[in-house]
Amino acid sequence: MEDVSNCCGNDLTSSCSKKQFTGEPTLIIKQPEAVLDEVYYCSLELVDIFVCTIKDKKKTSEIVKNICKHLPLDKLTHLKRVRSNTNQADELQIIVAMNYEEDFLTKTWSDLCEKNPVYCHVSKPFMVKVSKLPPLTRQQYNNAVQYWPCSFHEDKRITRLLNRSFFNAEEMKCIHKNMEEAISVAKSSVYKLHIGAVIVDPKSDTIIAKSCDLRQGKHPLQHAVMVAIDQVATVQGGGMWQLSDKSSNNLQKHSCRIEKGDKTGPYLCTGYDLYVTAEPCIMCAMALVHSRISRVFYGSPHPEGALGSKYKLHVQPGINHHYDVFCGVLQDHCHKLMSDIT
Amino acid sequence: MDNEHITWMERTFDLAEEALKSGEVPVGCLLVYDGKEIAVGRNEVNETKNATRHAEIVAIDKVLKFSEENKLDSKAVFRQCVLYVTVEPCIMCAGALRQVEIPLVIYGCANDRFGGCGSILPVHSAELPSLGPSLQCISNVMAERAIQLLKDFYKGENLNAPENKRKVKNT
Repeated sequence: MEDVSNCCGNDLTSSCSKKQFTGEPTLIIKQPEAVLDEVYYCSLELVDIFVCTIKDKKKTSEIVKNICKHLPLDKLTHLKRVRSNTNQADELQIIVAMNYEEDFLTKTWSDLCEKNPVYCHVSKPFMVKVSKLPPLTRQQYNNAVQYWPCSFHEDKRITRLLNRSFFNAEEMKCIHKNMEEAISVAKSSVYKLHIGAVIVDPKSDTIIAKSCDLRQGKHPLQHAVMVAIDQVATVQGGGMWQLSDKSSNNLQKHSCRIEKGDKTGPYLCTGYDLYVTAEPCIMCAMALVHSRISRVFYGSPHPEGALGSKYKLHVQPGINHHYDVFCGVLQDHCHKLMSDIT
Repeated sequence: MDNEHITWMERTFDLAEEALKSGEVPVGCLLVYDGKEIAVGRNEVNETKNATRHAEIVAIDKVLKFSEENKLDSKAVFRQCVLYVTVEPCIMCAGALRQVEIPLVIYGCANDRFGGCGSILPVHSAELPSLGPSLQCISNVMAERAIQLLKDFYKGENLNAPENKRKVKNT
C-alpha cells in the first residue's frame, strides 16, 4: 500500500495509519465519484391523492378487496395501498384514488357508496401528499416513507456507487496508476493544451493506447480521446491517422499486443476503460459510445463537458450503448495540467 | 427546394451507395467550397475498425488535405463550406462540425438513433461556446431516398438484385 501515497496528494483524506488486525498501515483513499443518471439524485416530488380512514377494522379485508376492484391504481404502484395512521397507530387508512378527476367525490365516489354497503365502513375521502415516483435510493426511500409507506427494491450496485465504496484497494491502485499515466502523457505534449488519454484493458491491466491532445497541431479534431480511439483501431489492424507529430512519436511502441488465444479478437473498445485527465467534450463522449467503451475515468470537470457537467451522454435515453463514468480521479493533479497553460 | 441543393445531394447519394456496396452504413457526405466540390466522405467504420470514421469525419480529413495541398488556411476554408450529408449528423459529428466551424449543413433524413441536430440532442444549436459557433441545418432534402438506403442496409437486402425481386417492406 505504501506506494499509493506517492500519487494521491489531496486525494488521501488522511494519511494517518490506522492499525488493522494485520498490523499493517492502511490508507483511506477517496474513491472516484460515480456520475449517475439524474434520477438517483432527484429530491422528493409530492403528489396529492385521496385516502379514507377505515372505520370498522374488522371489515378491512372486505374493504380493501372492494376498493382495489372498483378503484384500481394504474399509477403510483410503488405505494402500499393501506397504512396505519402515523398519529393513531390503530387507525388504518386506504388509498382510494389519485387526485385527477375533478368530480371524483361528487360522482365516482358517491355512486360507489350508493351501490355498495361496504363503503359505509370508511370515512369520506380526504387528500394527503405522497411521493410521486418510486424511490431508487435509500435516501429517496427514507424521504418518501415520511409521507406514505412504499416498496423499495434496493439496487446494491447503485448504493455502493453512491457511497463511494465501489472499488477495493487493489482496484484503486490500478485506477490511480492509469490516471498517472494519462497525466504523464498529457505533460509530454508539445502544445499548450495538456490533456492525456489512456485506453486500458482492465482484464489484463495492459495499456492498449495512449495519446496527448493534438488539436492545437494540424488537426482540430485530434483530441486526446479521438487519437487514442484511432490507436486502438491501429492495434486491431485498422486506424486512419498517421501521426507524424512529435507528441505521438513514442506512442506506437506502447500500443500493446493483442491478447493471444482470443479467437474472435477484440471489437473496437469493448471491455476497455478510458482514463482521461479532463472531462470529454460531446464529440469525444459520443465517439466513446460508438466505440463501445466500458468505463470512463476522468480527472477534472469541464463546464461544457458531456459526462456530467453540460450533458450526461453516457446515460442519455435513446442511445444504444451506455458506459459507466467516474470523475474526480486525481482531480487536483489533472486540474493543475489545465491551469498550467499560460 | 433549391435546385443546387438537389444536384449536390444527388452526388452525395452516390457516395452513400458506395458505402452500402462496401458493407458500411450507407451515409455519404460532400463539401462544397467556392461553388466546387473539394472533399467527399462515406462511412468507413468497418474498414478502419474505427467507429468514429463517419462520412463527415472522413470528409473533414480531406478538407484539411485539400487546404494543405492548395496552400489555403483550412480554418478559412471550413468557414466558407457547405456540407451535404444523406443522414442527419450524429452527436459526435455535430460536435466535430462545430469545432471546425462549418456554418451550414444540408441533410436528408433524421437520425433517430444518434442524431445530433435535434433528433437525440440539439448539439448543432446548444450553448457550447468553447466548442464553436452554432450550426445551421437544412433538413429533409431527399429524405425518402436516404431512409430507403438505410432500410436496405439494416435489412441486409441485396441492392444488386433486380428491382422486382427485392423485398420492400414498409414500416
